[in-house]
Amino acid sequence: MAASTFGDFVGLTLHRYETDAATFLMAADDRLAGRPGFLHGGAIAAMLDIAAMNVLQRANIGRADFSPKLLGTSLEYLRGGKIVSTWVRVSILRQGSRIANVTGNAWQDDVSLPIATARLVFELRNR
Amino acid sequence: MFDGSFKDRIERHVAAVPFNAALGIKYVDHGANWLENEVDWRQELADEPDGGCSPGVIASLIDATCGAAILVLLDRVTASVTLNLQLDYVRMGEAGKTVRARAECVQLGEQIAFVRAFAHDGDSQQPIALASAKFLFEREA
Repeated sequence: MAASTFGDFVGLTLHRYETDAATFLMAADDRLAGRPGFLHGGAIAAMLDIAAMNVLQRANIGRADFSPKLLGTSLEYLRGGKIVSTWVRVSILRQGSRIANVTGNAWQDDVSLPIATARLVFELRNR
Repeated sequence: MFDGSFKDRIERHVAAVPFNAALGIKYVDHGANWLENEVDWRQELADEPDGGCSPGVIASLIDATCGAAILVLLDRVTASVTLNLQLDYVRMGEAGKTVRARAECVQLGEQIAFVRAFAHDGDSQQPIALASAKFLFEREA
């Protein structure tokens, strides 16, 4: 995650990149807690937006001028996240010339029990 | 329970949350239905060398500030759970600048609180982010 020092701060690493989608892992860390025993909502938000930015950059790796800017996120928290390994999968829903839309889901022990889901909108500009 | 003023207790509460402490999120001030927290810029909170704070830092600051604004109206320190968070990143923050968030609890129901917030890095008329959020909380039994 050389592209993101804050990604390093929250302990996010790339697990697998496929075409226009990727899975990341955020390691369990007591520093990420909000209320006792549960992940801070901001830590979950951070992993989703860092992962979304990263998958956009990977999908456009050959374009030197590619410079996405996060415009907005819409996050739903579905379950309390425990202080255990957390997975996030992000997918590019649409990428046009000016706007990209990315969706993401985070889960822990069981992929069928997501802890959060997000939609993210990016503006695509030439540097 | 009755040690110190509400201001002291909420200040300690914000600082005691581990991820708030890791980021350096700290209480600044509060009023009847609002609360402000801030976070100082550091390189490890940015995505690029000399970049502004990462969106996740702004989201964390706003989440923490919205949650604490509810406690002001409840007049006690209790746990609350974020249900959703809508964030608009209006413009990029700048490296080196402290980011402050102000959250206002708009409506407090039996178990749901509606909160709106914004963040700025020095000029409150030029926000870097706008937000609205819903929280689930427990009233005292």
